[in-house]
Amino acid sequence: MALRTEEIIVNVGPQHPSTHGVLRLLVTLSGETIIKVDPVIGYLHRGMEKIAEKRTYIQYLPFTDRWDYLAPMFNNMVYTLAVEKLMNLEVPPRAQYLRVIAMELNRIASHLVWFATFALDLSAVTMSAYMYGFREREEILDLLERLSGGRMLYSYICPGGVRGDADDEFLRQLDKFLDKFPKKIEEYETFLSQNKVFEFRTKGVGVLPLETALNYGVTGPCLRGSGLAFDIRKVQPYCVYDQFVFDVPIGDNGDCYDRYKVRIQEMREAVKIIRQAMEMMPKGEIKKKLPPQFKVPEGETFALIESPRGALGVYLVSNGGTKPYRLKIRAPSFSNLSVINEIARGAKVQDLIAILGSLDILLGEIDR
Amino acid sequence: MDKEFLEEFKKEFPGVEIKEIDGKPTVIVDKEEIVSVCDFLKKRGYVLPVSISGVELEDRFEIVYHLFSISRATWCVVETFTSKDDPFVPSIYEVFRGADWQEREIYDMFGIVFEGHPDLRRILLEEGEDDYFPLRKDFREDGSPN
Repeated sequence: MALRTEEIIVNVGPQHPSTHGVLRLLVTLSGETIIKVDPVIGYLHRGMEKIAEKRTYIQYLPFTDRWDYLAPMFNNMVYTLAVEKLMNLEVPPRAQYLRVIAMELNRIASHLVWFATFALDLSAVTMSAYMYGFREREEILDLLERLSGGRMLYSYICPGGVRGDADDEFLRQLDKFLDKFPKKIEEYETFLSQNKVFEFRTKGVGVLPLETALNYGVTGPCLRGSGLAFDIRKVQPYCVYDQFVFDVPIGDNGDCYDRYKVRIQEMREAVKIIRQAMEMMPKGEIKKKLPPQFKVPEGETFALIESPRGALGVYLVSNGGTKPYRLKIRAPSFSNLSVINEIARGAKVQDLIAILGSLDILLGEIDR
Repeated sequence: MDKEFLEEFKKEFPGVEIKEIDGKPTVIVDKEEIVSVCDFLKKRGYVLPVSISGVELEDRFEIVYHLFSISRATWCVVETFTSKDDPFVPSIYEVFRGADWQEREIYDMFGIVFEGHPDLRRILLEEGEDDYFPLRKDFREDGSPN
């Protein structure tokens, strides 16, 4: 009897722990090899762009928290940056440094969630790495709570400056955290970096060639893992990022392991940036007073910043009123996910989870 | 965009309007030319398709392409227009694969058809019996068809 082969379609999600949100993947398989991956998205679509057209500029700020709910500081920042650019608003210098501190802390927190869940997905070290990641994240959330009043959704960075100053207790605790955190990163690396099972699951898996990455508009650690040192903080500095000394880590092969390495390294760089920002931060005002309903001059602008997931942008068109005329969100996860069919094709089915995890997508941002 | 490149661009596409908006060089082209303009820009270093956005103006739709050159660290913004009665624009899928989902999203939200797109269907919203395009200004929020 001849052996018969047949393609089958496997449905992954939308409710599945390894999809990190409500994502559905239609995976066409031949045996164990992936022929095609068709992501089905939109389960979390809340109409964030339409809502913006119905709210005043300040009213919309809390909505920005909900785009990428693991890194809301960046959403606040990019929205604020677009508004400030159109208004030509000068921001007090202390506020700029506080923004950097808040954002880099948030970057570490976001990377820690990625690290914890990625390790869990690969079941390399089961629960312990997961718990380690969340343990340090908890401390960051405490710090950010002290700074902004919120643990998850901050609305901290706002047009004109920031809401809430850093007191001595915050700076003392931050200093303590920065002292011990680099040692914790080493601890994470002892879990995974030399782990044979982890290497086997990630090295040479999900290779993303540089040209493909650029063609699909992939940015952030995924692009840097493919070997291009493209970081908006360096290329087009915003806030006061041009004043800090830090490296842009890159990978060589563009596989899952390189993307892991880049993110781990980025946490170290974030610590370096926060240290410098703490030293350079001047005293003074933290917010420029604005009326609750201000008008934004007519015009259009495109603001772009480096979020933990990549280049996060806002295209803002104003007609001179108190509400945005059009607000388009350029979400890095959206572009990063679109490449999955390209890099998962030909891989084995268990690699799909590693690839998806290594892309570090966030559905709130993809669906908006 | 540096001066030298600007001259080269003008030579290749005479009659194209070039403005500076928001500190970024912006070229305003006919929609028939969009594929060749994007192809030209890609070959000259504007390799990263950062964003494609749709905007509804009073009498027409505007499509804005934000391209970034990594070697030059500069922007190039391309704008094109299409009518409201029969909105369609050639797809740049063949030039930038990143346009795939971005164009699908614009189709989803505005109902602008991208000619030549291999798989133009809704991406975030449900296929419905009636056409509905939420980012259009005349979209009825009570759920009744436009």
